Amino acid sequence: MEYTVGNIAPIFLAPVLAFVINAFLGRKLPRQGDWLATLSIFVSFIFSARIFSDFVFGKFASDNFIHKTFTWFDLSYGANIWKVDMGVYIDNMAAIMLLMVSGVAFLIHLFSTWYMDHDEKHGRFFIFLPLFTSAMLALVLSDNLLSLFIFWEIMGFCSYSLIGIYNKKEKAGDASLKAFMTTRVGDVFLLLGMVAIWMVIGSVSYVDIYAAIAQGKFDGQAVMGISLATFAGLCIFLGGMGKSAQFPLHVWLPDAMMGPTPGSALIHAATMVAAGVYLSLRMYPLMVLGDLTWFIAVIGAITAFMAATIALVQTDIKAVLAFSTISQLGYMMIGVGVGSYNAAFMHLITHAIFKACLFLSAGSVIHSIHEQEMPKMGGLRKYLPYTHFAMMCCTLAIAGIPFFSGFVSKDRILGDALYFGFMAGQNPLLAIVPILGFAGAGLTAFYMFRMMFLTFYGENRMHHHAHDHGHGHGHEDDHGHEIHLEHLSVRQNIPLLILAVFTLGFWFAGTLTGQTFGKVFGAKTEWFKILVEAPKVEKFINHPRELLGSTDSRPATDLPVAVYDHHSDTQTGYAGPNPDTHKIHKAHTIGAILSIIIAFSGVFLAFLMYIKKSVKPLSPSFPGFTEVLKNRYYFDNLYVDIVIKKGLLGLNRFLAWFDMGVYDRYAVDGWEKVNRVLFTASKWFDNVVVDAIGVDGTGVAVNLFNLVLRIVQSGKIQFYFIVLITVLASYIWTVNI
Amino acid sequence: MNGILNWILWLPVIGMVAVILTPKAKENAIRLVTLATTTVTLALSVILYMNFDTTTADMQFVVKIPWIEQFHINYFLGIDGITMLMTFLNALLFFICTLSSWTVEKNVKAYFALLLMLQSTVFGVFFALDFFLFYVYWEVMLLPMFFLIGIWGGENREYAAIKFFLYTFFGSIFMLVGIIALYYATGKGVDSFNIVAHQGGKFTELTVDLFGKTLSFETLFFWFMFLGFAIKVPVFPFHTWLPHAHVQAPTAVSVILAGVLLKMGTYGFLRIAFPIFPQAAVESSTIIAVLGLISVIYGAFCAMAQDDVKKLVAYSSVSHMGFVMLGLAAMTTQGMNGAVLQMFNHGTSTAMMFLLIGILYERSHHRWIVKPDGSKGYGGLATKLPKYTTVFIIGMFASLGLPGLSGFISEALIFLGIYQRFTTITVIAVVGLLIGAAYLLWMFKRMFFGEVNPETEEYDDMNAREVFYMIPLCVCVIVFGVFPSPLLNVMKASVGQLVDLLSKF
Repeated sequence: MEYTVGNIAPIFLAPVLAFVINAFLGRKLPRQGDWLATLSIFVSFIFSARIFSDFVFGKFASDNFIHKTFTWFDLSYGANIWKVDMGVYIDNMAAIMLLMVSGVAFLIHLFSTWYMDHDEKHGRFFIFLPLFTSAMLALVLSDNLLSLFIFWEIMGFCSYSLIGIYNKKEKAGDASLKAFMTTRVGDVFLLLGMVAIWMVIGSVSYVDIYAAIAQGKFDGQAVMGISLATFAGLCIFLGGMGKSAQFPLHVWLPDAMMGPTPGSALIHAATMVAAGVYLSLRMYPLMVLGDLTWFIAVIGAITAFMAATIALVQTDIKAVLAFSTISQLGYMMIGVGVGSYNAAFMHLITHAIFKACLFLSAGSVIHSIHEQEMPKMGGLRKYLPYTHFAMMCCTLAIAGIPFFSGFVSKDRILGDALYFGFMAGQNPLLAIVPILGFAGAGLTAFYMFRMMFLTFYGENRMHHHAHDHGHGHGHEDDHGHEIHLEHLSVRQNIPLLILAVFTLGFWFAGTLTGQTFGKVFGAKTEWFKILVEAPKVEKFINHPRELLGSTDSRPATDLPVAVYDHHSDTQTGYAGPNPDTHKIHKAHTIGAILSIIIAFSGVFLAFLMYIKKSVKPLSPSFPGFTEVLKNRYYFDNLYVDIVIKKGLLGLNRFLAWFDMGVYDRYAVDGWEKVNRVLFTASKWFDNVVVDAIGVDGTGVAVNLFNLVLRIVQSGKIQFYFIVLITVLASYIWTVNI
Repeated sequence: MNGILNWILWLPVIGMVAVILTPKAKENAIRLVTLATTTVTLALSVILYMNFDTTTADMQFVVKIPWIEQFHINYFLGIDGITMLMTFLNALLFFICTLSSWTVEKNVKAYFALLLMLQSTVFGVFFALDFFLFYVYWEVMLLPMFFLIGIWGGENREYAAIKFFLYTFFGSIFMLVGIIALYYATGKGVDSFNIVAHQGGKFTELTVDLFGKTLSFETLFFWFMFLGFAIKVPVFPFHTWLPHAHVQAPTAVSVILAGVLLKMGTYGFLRIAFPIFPQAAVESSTIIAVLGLISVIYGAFCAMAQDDVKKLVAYSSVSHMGFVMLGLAAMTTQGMNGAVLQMFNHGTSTAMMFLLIGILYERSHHRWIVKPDGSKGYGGLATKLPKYTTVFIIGMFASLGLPGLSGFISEALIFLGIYQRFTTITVIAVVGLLIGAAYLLWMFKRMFFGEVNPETEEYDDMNAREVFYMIPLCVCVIVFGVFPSPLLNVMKASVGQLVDLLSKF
């Protein structure tokens, strides 16, 4: 199929149109235009599906891509040629992303039409949700960092608006401010990294960046004593850290749950937060060139583990999911860092699906019983069977139980991490990456099943009579705490069930355990591995390291880039046979066994604690540590109370006081005093010297000074000073020229 | 089309005369006359834009009539791409300010007469290509401003008006000395007051003996000019008049002050200081960049600490104009274009902010985000004033540089430009972007979120007139954020010529 603007643009223009119509006319439309927003996303989905099928079933090659550009604006004048191009770049990764984003967004829109029914912010919600979706789709379509950044920020704005949508709550204001500012910290660095690349290689298009890396244009370039690749790569990764809520910029994501649950599902779980990972994957060659992969892996490992520990003590169902999102994003970053390129991307996709479903299920629970605290739930599976089913599938997936999608992707990441940490001859300290990764996986299985058991199993702790209510859902908001038996409803349950279907592992890999189960569907069932691989950068692999301004002269083959080669050793043209293939296979086998054992022990422990109740929860035994976890390791307090309130605001208040109270008062208005002294001296000179001598023309001087006197004495300050300067200046001038 | 600049320049004066001739009691007639005048002026500036030749960097629509012949002073007008944008901005903002001043009750006749006089003098500054004419307009402009702040201002208006007047006057004295020096340096000839004729680095060889030292003519008088313009911008450390003037000035005057008067300072650099003294400009670019950087950061930090919302926006102007100075100091295609674009974009976005604060002030009669006694000044505005909130969000996000709105492109261009010459400064300036978002959003959070309090409960949302005059600005901010080409195409030849000139030194 020949691609033109006409069959690519509707992907993001359809939701933009819905945004515009809803923004201006939404109040007048039936149902405030929610159907229009949903429909527009469906249009995007259809167009995305065409592209997806074309890429995956038609061309079926890893190096297939579309690249179309146009000039946005042009500053050329004379011999100075400089213009800014925008464009569309679709490769396999983008095609998969498009399908995932539009598909998940469509289901979430559909669910939201149920969830937001009778909500006072219904209309507003359906203004920002399509705008957000269009920005995310446009971000995926972008062929360069500039347009990525533009849509990145627009998504940030939508996220800000949706977090703060219940604007009567002070907390919503705090949360939205925190979200925007924390991600903004990363964003300004992203901008800086982009500027650095742009001004050195003359473009920020992905294709040009890859080519520049291949041609060695980054070599020998330095920014403030750091090699350009490291500087730019780090800046860009910091941008990704902000958006993808990586330690230490993770603090905004839990608070982002102030928004409506479906909004959280789309933005703060499935798509936007994954944009940081997507960016890191897009800029993967730069990360390798800048020798940043180990850093990415470590940040990812810390995030994955830390967030998992915090999730252990959460009682709010959305908070558990929020921290699990942070933790899973950490796994994706581990994947990027250890060179598990396609597994990291696969985890992005699988996570988007199961986490969207988890949030929607949580939304279904919250909306049905008007309660978010898990200790007040329990036994809900009788009342919410479909929700329970969907949520269970997703929990199995996120916990890494075999045959589910999360296992396929996470197992590969952990296997590669195992190799990276123990066998690749890296710095031994990097063993922390697989250790934290596996520990986090165990915790994940535990806290997710804790959530399931507390919510759906055991006895109902709501102290209310549950009864069947025939009128469907959402109508009786005022009734408060009554639980209605869930009926299969198109808008409430079907999105959940569709998403739940895609938590099965075989969609993503024909080999259910990652390696050994027969390739039942033939080679093409490994589509994910075959289609998604790191951008080919020809000279990249033999890049002499000393050119990068580093004293380390290891050949680049030692870089973790080598790890994923074996996945597709026949497809990648550039790596050659990897001598470590055997080791990697070993790592994967050990990793698979380990993660299965760890996942099941986590589930079993949760079962013992919350179903059998034969093991007591550990938190009472460690009150101190529980307190630390409940306070989220005090990061929020550190940032808000110390860095911002004491540091930044203190500095600001001091500067503002200095500006008006000191500088303006003394240095500026203080001239009045100086003038008075000069004036008195002049008057004395005038009276004593001039009058005494009685030169002709004294009268003029006296009149002039009298004028000045009047001005100064009447409070018109500084006139004297001006006159003085004028006289002085003209004197200097007439004498010297 | 040759006389169109005359029309644009003198039409406000004709309007002023008409206002003066209207009986004082007929306040609505006065308002309508002013509105008609500014509307026609705006229409003329659009016609000017449509007839503007974007391919050339030369002066267009030139008018040159001898004025004081023994000194070779001419009534010499003309515009290039940079002034084209400023002309449009000026015409647009005065049109909007007339509408926003509809509620002024005190001495309506004098107010609108002065407003029209101010518009004419601002046009004069942008059109004048004769140094003497330029100086006359530069100084005369102070008078209507002085009275507008001093009579219609807030509690402390006299102090603010005098401070504004003296500070600017102080700077322009230096400029005057520079002008006289140029007059003598060019041998008092035919072109000795001709700004265009001075351009191109003709004074690089000249020296001045001062206190027994030989100084470069260029360097010395570049700094004289610098002082005159830097106070107007205002660049740190000459900025303290701005918060006073803004806080005390009535809404429309704040809009004009931030929207166009500050741009006269940076315009001075683009038209006079840089092209006439290019070598000195290139040599001092580091200092300009550092001062611009300090303005960006210091202005942002000071803004964050303010409890008065108007003062906050005033300091944000210091910060945003610092970005313009950074772009100018870059002296590259991207930086210079970004700076001129930022002049326009800051004009529209900051005008929105001041107008919105004015609209709120008319309802609340105070401007405290946090009152001096520590209680909330506002709260729950988002619930009570939905239309107002929507427009406020557009203005605020344009101001903080959200992509998709106008501020982003200019800021990004400035960063691209400055990075090529001053990497470290770029890295530090990034903090300005961060704090820039912080103070605006924090202000927004404190004013708009939360429960509606009894005081806020009584406010009305924006009325039709207020919505009407906010629309053009919203359109500018959004359209030029997505399609900057209509602005960039107009300016790029003129800016490109200046960049070429500077690159030779």
